[in-house]
Amino acid sequence: MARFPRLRSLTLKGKPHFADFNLVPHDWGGYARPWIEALARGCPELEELRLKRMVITDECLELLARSFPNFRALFLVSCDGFSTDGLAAIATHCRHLRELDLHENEVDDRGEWLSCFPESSTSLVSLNFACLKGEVNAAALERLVARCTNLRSLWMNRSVSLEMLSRIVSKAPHLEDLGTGSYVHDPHSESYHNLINAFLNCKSIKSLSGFWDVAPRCLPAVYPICSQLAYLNLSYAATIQADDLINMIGHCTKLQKLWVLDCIGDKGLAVVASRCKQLEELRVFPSDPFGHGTIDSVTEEGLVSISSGCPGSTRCSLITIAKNCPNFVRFRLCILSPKKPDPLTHRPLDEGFGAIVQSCRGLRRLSVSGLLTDQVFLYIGKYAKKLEMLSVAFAGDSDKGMLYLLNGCRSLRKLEIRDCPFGDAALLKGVGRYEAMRSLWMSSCEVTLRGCQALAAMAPRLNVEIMHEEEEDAGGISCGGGLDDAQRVEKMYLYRTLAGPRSDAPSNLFTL
Amino acid sequence: MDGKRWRVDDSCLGLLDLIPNGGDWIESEDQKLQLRLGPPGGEGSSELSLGLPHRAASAKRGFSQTLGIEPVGDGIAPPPAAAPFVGWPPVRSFRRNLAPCSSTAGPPPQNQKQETRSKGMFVKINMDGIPIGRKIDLSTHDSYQKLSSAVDELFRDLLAEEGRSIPGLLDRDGGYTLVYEDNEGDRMLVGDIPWDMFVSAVKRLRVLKSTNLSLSRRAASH
Repeated sequence: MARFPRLRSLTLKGKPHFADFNLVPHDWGGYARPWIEALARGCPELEELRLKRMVITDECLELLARSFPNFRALFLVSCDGFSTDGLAAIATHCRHLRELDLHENEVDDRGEWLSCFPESSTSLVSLNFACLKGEVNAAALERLVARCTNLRSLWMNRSVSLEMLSRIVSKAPHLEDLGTGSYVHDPHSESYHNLINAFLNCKSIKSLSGFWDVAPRCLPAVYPICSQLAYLNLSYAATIQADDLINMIGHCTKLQKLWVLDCIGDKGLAVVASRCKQLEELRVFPSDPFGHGTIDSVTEEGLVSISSGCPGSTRCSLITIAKNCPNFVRFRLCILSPKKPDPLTHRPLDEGFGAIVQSCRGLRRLSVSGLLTDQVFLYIGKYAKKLEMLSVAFAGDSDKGMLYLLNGCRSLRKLEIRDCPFGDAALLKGVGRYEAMRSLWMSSCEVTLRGCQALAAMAPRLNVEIMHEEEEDAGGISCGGGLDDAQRVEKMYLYRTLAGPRSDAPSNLFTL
Repeated sequence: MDGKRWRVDDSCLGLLDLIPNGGDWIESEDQKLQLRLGPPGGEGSSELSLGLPHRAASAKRGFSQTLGIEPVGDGIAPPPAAAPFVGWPPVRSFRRNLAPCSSTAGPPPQNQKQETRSKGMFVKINMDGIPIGRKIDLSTHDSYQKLSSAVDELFRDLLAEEGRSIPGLLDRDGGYTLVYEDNEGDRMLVGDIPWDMFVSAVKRLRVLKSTNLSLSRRAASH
C-alpha cells in the first residue's frame, strides 16, 4: 500500500471459485482485515473497494466507513463474516456513497440498516441488497428511493412485497436495473394495477431480476418492459411454470443474458433460441438440485432439442445450440449425474461440446459435464482460443486430456478440475503455463504429493497449496514424514505469487 | 468419409435434414480434426504424446466401481445413480431453498396439465404444546373450511393421546385459533381475506391455544 498512496480503487478476490460449492475449507483465508487496515493507514483517497469471496467483519466495515472521506462504492460478492450492523456503519458514515452492491453474500440479519442513511444523503446511484435474508424498513426504503434522484439500479430482497414494489417503482421511473422482491399479489388489487402503470413509465429498464415467490398471474405487468431487456434473471423463480416463462421470454427479443430454471424445458429453450437472437449468455439452473431420483432436468430438458428429430439427445441439442447461438461468450452446462452419457446414443458428449467451442469462437468461459473423454479436451484445446476460464468435473480418461488444454488454450487464466484422472505427468508438463495463469485447482484427481512437490521445486514463483483432511498429518507433510509421497493429494490449489507462502492458512493447508 | 461431414449413425438419421443449411456450418478448414461419432482413439498417437505409460483409473480410487459404471465402449452404459458428492452439483447453497415444496419423483412438469398454478404449496404448521411441526399442502384445499378440517386431521393423532381434538378452529370460541405469518412477517388471524389472497400471502401457519390469544389481546390493550 505504501507504494500507491493515491490509490482510488481496489479489487480483491480471495477464495477459489469452488468455495461457492463448499469444496474449500471454511477457514481457508481471504481475510479482508489486513488489506483494509493497510488501506486505512496508507490510502486516504480510496473511493472504491471490490471484494469477492473474502471474509470481512463488521469491524472492518466500520473501519472502512470511517477511514475514507471520499468513499463512493462498495461491492461485496460472495463474501461472508459480516452482518447488517456493518452495513449500518457504511450507510451512516459514507457521506458520498454512490454504489452499494451486495451480491450473493452470507449476511447475518441483525436488524435496521437502511434507515441509517441520513435524510441528507441523496447520492445513491446503485443499491443491491437482494441477498439479505431479513426484513427491510419499507418506509425508509421508499424515502431513500424518493430522495436519491440519480438512482439507476435497485435490487431488493425477498422481504419486499409487490405492494412496496409498486410504490417504489412509481417513484423511480428512471431505473435501469431492477430486482424485485416477492412478486405475489392479487391481480385484481389496486397495488397490482398501480404496478402496471408504474412499469409503463419505466422506459429505461434494461435488466430485471428477483421474482422470489412469483404469482404467475401477476407477470403480465412486466411484459411491456420485456422488449427492452438485455438481462433477465428468473433463476430464483421456482413457482413459474414453463408456459408462463415462455410467454414472458417471448417478449424479450433483445435479450443478451438469460438465467433461468430448468423447468423452462425443451420448448422454452426453443423459444429462447428463436426469439433471443442476441443471446450471449445462458445459464440454466436446476430447480431441484438436491432431489432424489428425479430426471436430470438440465440435460435434454435443459437444452434445445429438435423436437421432431432427436428428442432426448443431449449431443444433438448441443449442436443445435452451437449453431443458433454462435455469439455465446459463456456456456456452462451442468448435467446432474456425473459421467452421464447421451441418453439417446449412450455415447460421450464430446462432439456436442466440440460443436460449442467450434462455433462459439468468442467463448470465454465454459463448464462441461456428462460423460466426456479426452477427445473433448482435444476440441477445446484446438478451438477455444479465447477461453479464459474452464471448469471440468468427472471427465477425461488420461493425462492427455489435461495436456490438450494446457497446450491449446492460450488465453486460459483459470482452470478448475475435480474428480478427473489427471495426474502428476500432466501437472508437471504444464509448469510453463501456470505463471501466465491466475490459478489452477485440482481436487480428487490423480495428482500425488510427490508431483506437487516436484512442481513447487520447479516453480518458486508459484504457491502450491495442498489441503488435506486428516488432522494427524499436520506437520507431517512439511517433514515429508507423515504423508506418503505417492499418496494422492485431495485438493491442490496453485497460483502465482510475489510474496511467497501466506501466513493466514488453516492448519490442514500446506504450501510446498 | 470425406472428413468434412458428420458421420451419421442410424439413431440420428435425418438430423442434418432438420438443421437449416445442412451441416455446412461445421466444415472446418482444418482437415486434421474430424468430428466423429465414434469413440475416440484408434487414430495413432497425437503430437501430444507423453512417452509415459498411460495412466488407467487408479486402483486406489475405485471410482468407476463406486458409481457402478461400465467403461463406455461397446455396450450401453447404465445411467449412473446420482451418488452424493461433496460440492455437487455445483449449485450455491442458497438455491436449495427456493422451491416452495420438495420435489418428488414423478413425471416431468411439462407432462402435467395442472389446474392450479403451483406445484404443491407446502407450508409449515406448528401447534402450541406440540414440539414437532407438520407440513400442509395448501394447493389441495380451496376454502378455509377444508383447511380447518385438514389441520384437525393433521394433529388429531397427536392430540388423541391426550384425549383432545380441535373443533371450531375458525370460530375462535373453541380452544384453539388458527393464525398465519404473512409475507411481511406479521402474524395474522386466518379467515379475513379471500382464500386466493391468503394462499399468496401465507408463509406458515400456527395453531394457537385461544387462551394465549386472549392473553396477548389483553396485553395489547394495555
